[in-house]
Amino acid sequence: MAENYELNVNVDGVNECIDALDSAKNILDGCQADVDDKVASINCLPHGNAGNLFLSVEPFDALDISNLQYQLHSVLDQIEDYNRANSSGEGNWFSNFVGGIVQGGAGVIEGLVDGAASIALDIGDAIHVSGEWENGLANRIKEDWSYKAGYAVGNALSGGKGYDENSGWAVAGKATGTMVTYGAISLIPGAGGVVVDAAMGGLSGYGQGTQKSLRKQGIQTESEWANTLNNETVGRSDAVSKKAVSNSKATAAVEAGKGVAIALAANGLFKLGGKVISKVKGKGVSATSGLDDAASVVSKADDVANAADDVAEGGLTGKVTKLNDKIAEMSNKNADEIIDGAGKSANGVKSAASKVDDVANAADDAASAVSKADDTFRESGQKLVDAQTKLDEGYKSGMSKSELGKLEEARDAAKREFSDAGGHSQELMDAASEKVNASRKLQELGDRADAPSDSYYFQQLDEGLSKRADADSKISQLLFRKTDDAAKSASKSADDVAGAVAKSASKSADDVAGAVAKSASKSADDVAGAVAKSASKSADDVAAAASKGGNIFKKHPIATTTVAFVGGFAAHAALNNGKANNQFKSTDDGSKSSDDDDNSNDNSATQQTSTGNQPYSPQSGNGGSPGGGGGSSGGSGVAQYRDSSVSTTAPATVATTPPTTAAPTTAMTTPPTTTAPPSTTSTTVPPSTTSTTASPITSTPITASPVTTAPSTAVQNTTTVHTGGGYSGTGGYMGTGDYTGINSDAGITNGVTDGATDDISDITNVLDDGTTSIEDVIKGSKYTRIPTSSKPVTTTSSSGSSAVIPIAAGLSAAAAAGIGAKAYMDRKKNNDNGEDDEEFDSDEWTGDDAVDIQYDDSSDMNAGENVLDADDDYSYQPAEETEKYDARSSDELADLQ
Amino acid sequence: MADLQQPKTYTCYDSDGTKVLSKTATSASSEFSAEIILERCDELKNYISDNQDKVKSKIEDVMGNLSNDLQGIPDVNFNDISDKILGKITDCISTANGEIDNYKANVIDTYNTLQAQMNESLYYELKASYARVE
Repeated sequence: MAENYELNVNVDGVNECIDALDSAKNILDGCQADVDDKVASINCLPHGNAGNLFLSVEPFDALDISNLQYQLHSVLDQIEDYNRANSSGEGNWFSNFVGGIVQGGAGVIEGLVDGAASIALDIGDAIHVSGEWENGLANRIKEDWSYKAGYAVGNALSGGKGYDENSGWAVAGKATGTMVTYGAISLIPGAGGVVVDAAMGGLSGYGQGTQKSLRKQGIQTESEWANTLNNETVGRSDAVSKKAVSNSKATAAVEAGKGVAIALAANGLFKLGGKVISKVKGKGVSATSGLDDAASVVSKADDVANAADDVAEGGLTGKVTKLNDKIAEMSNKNADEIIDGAGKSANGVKSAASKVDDVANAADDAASAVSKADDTFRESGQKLVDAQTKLDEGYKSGMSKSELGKLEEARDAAKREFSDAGGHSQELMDAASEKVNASRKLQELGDRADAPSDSYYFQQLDEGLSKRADADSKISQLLFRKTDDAAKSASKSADDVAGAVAKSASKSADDVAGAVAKSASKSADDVAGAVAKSASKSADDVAAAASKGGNIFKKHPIATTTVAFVGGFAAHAALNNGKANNQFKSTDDGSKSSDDDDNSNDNSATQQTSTGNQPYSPQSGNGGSPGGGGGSSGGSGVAQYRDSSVSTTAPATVATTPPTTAAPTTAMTTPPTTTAPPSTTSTTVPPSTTSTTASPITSTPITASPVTTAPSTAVQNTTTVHTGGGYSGTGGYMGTGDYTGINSDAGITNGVTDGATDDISDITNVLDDGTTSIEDVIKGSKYTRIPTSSKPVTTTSSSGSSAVIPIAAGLSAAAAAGIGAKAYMDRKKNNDNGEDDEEFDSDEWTGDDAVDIQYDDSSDMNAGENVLDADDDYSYQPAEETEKYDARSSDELADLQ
Repeated sequence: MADLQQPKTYTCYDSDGTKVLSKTATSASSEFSAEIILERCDELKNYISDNQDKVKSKIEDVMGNLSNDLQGIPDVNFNDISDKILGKITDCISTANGEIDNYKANVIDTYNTLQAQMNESLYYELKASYARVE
């Protein structure tokens, strides 16, 4: 491959030759000087009308030697670069690139042999030779830099732990980043809120013992965030790098690619943060001012950009020092502008990541607040149920009035407390009473000594049981009213998740449930806390607000949604993390644990294996969503998501039993594989294929027409090598075997020499006294001419200076258009109001439309007759008295005489 | 310098055929040094010719070494480069020599023309005073 190609060049020897050429050049120069002196001495002699001796040529012109030296120096520089890049192992694309230049350099020398005068091939020329090459370069840039940027960012953010793109976290990050960035979530059928809903299920597990343990496992470490960003950056930087290359001078392409990649790494976080916020807002809830602040904190691109330097210096530059050295040589203002404009470097990511970290750290506090509010709500509700139950039973049992009064007071107090917490007190009381009645009825039926065996009796018994169950269910719902929305949306989450994942990732609902269970706790905390802390809201404030009325979800639904989102986010991360396998095995009876190969939706089994005797109805799909919730809450036996239509045989004590521990019974198995991160595809694009087919030399040279006879085969081969560039294929230099093939087949001696002999004869035939330059020599030659300009060939469409200009122009145009539109609308509005009717009133033309304009053709403008002359005096002057003459006939004149 | 015309000497006779005097026309060399110019032109040509071999030898040596050192760059025959460079020099020298020869011819022609004019001028001058001039 080209990376391993070694140029067998004796650099020192070439340098010696270059020096030796100096002596030859000196000889030529000395001779020429003598010739000039002798000519001068001749011309000094009296020569009458013979004129001076003038030589139109310099017999010892050393220009060719100088050109040759220049080229040799250039080639040597490129060879050294190539070897340096090769040996460093960091210049895969660069080595190919330089290999192409070397090849181009060889072509240049060959061009000199052919008489081409070009010597000014430099790297810039090589890059700019053709658009095709440029694209190839762009591909290489994006390929390497996207990864390097990701590597550096990941390395920096992970505290130097390195970035393994194949690591579980990275894979998870990729998929997660993909989902987040590209909105894949919305593409999953029915998954618009699936993940969110699933996370909601996870939220329901607050207050349960599993939360902490799940949190410990962590959903996303810092490095995962970094990896997520990395991969997002990779994906994004592909297109942008390519765009950058096409829109900037190629000499700046490398730098631009770096800048763009880095900037996008930062921007990735911004987008990620923005996604969170937008997701929150997208749920149709009003963002609090705190959330807006949080959004601005996360989304401040300036913060990201301004803090980006460290990572670039510590990571990227360190990793690609040699490349940067070369880039520095090639860099120009454009690159700086691009970098500056794009947002400097990846330190912004670090900074932003730290913000995320802060957000994550703060999340726990907010989550605790949420949990506390949840507990408050539930406890107050349960207190009300108990109070109402006692009161009803007191009535039934014929309790004294005073005692009943006390119970009523207690009930009323509980009622107020529950109302303040946001609960529907009356409904809860009614449900409690209904339950008491039903229980009493059942008791009465059961207490009958003469319990009949008729159907009516059993019907009554069934009705009583049903009523009690309904009442129990109602109570449960009311006690968990605040998560009712989540329950509703999550009711089908299991099926949805299962279906969505099955379609997109061929994963079972169990996986999702397990993933949600794993991820929801921390992710919920993370983002909820992020909202709180980033918005400069203390956790205490949130907690206070939450505990005040228990309305955290009512008052801060955005937090809920945020949590849900991140829960989903984390779910996907977990889905992609192989390490999550079997983390949620049931520890209760162990009868069921997820299996990697188990893609079936065995929610029911999952629920049944929970400790809880409160099964989730598979039909309702609750089981899936609570994969997060189910996993955690299912064990509690609390009918958190129980739909009212779902019949349950759970005893009344279920509702009063606080959820304690609930180990998820399902484990996440394998990550989804169908949603490939964009970065993966982008990096797999072979970058060099297209570029190598067009070497720098190929596209620009002007092919001279043949002089005399058709060249020999060997000569053609030789020529083809140079125009073909040889530097092709993925390997580049030896990819197509052009050079190598020629060497082995035709060989220098057999091929080139023979061809050269023919060439010399050709050239010799061309030479005559009028031949004064190499250009003249190669006229008609079949050899191609190398570009002579030292200036890089740039495309006219690319604005090397900066993309800022067109952007600014566009903004200006947009602003102008906006102003114009505003003016138009104002005018239109005024016209509609009739305010300016007069202003636009106009008299209709009633005259003759056929206007006959009489032109005075006699006037001669060219003669200046009707042109004012500045020298003339145009002030008023009295008309001179002219003598008036009378007309007289010739006869009269004769008479006068 | 055989090519250069020499001033003529005229002999004047009286009407009775008596030889009165002989007078030589002024040499054109009084106005420009054609002879020296021609000499120096020949020297220049010889110089160029002599150094041509020296330059060629040097360039051939250097290019030969260069070809060996740069053999890692395929398909570049530095012998060709050497030949082309030397060929270019040879061509230029040939061109210069031709121009020098042309100049020499021009000098000679100009000189001879001038000398002829001087001779003729003297002739008519003597013719005006003497019955017969030869």
